[in-house]
Amino acid sequence: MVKSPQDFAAGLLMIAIAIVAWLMVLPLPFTAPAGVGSGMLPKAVSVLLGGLGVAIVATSLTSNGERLTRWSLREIALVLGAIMVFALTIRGFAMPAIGVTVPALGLAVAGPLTILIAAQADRSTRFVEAFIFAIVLTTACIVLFRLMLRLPIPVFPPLLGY
Amino acid sequence: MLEVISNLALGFSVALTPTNLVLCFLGCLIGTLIGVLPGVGPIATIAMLLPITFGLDPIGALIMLSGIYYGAQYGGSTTAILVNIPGEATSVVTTLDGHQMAKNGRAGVALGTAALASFAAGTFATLVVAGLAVPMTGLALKFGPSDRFALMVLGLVFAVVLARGSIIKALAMIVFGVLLSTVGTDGETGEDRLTFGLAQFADGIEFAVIAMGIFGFAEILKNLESPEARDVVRGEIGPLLPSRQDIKDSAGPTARGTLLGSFLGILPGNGAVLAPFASYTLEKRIAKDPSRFGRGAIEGVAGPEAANNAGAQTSFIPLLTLGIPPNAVMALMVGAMTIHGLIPGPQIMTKQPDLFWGLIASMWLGNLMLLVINLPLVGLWVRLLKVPYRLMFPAILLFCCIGIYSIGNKPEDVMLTAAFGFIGYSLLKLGFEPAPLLLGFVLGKLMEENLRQSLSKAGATLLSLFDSPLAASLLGFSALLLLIAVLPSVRKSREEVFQE
Repeated sequence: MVKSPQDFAAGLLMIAIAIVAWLMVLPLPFTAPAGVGSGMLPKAVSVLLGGLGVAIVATSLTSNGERLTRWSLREIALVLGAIMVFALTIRGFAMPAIGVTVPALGLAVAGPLTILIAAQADRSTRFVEAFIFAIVLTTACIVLFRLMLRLPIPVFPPLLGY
Repeated sequence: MLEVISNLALGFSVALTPTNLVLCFLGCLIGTLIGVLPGVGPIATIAMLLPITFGLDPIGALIMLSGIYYGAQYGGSTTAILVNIPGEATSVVTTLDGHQMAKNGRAGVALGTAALASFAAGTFATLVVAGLAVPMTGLALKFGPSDRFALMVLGLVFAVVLARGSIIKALAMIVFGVLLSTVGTDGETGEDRLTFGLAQFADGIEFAVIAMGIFGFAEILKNLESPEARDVVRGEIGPLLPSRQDIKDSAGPTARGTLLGSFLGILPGNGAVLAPFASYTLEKRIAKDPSRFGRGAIEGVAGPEAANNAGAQTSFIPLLTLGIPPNAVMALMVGAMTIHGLIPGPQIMTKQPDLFWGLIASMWLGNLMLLVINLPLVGLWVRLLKVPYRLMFPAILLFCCIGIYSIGNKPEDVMLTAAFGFIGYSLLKLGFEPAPLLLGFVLGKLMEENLRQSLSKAGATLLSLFDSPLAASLLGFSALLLLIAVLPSVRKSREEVFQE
């Protein structure tokens, strides 16, 4: 019986990663005329990882450990979603495969947008407070990164010209 | 001795230029500012602040980054004392007696003692670094690729043995890190490896993407999950300067902690993380009345804080002389150096002595500045501690996004970091400690390179690795160490050390 569900799942994940990696590097040669082939390290490492996964699963069967805890899907979606919105809008993003082009918004718009979406992940967020904070923080970031550190990050949507 | 003095003089002439002084000061200040925030440890702080050093020249960038590192470490102790939340593994010990002192109305003395003990330790450790740098570099220059490979293996084994929690899980994280390091086009044969056919992976994964994903984004997700129990000390901070009796009580622990930390920090594995624990255990064992520990004993703050800071300092030795990062923070420094076109290793000292000695001199200046900035600014830190997490995490998030984007001006990097945030969160949920992953990732690349070089001779087999007696003995020692660590009896006593 599984005595430590957390370790059991942890071991399975490592085994899964090891198998995927192994299959992907299968065609690469282990050795080459010059000694080490491109496949040597990844292959050796995936076998090792798989072995460790098996060992973790094995210990989960014999010794008691932590249970699995619920994943906070809402928070994950909001936080990672906010990051994706930043990535897509900071200088625009073309996705020819699905025929969509996200317009460039620049830090001045993408910044507050990112903060406001992410802030929803905390239930104690108050909109007005978050809104003011977003504006202040974005302004500070523009001053710091663009004006002081001179990083080439787009600040305004191209329509307004930056 | 004379050589050390002349080298340090060169270092100070570099570190004392107005620009570098300002950078060192800013690094310490910003590092403390971010490090003080609960739930943001030194790794996350450095990863987050990395982009602000992009525009600087390499030496300025390194001086600022190491300032950020000490600042973050010091900020972590402040949080540990005032809020009972350790910013990272090494300040766990400080929460025990430091927070009790704060509850007894002696928060100021605890903070002051931590700062003074850290400064004393930092001064000594800087001298250790300066003294050992020349002989260590000389030694490192004699190493062949197989010796370096063996040394890295030993470093990884040490990191496993000294990791907190399950040894097998720590080992799995390192191996996973090495696996991630092999992603990308093979440098020698041009074959695609583990790229999922994506052009973006062709150059491999940017280390900052992994660092910020796992230590920035995943930490946010984890912190959002557990409702905050911030136990900020109310009421007076009290006087900052320790009394005569306090100084008398903490002098011994500080000296012992400094020696312990300096020694452990030099080890190729993550010895520094063990230092505060070892110091606390030692002080408790030799104390006349051990029952005072855990109830606000000043020895329990001075010793571990000194050990912590000394270890943090001397862990630069393996990085700067051998080019082998001993822990995740130093792995980040490798990444930062690479971005600035520097390859860590013995050639830094021989080819760029100004950079090398300037950095070492700035370590001491950084420690001095921490003392000067922190004590008067305690009030500000206390106020910062009251910033609610609902405002803090979106700010961290935006900072990380801007930082990753700025590395290569690629939105794809930001998306990949989000993916690593998810991976990091999954790992945390499954009880993995992700710091070894970063170490494995950085060392993986170096290991493959050295493995290639040592096996490139005609007729070489894996056994050729043992041709050099040094490499053979290092590999043998690593195997022995790993074996001992897995044995049950050692495992038990290791748990005891971390339990303290």
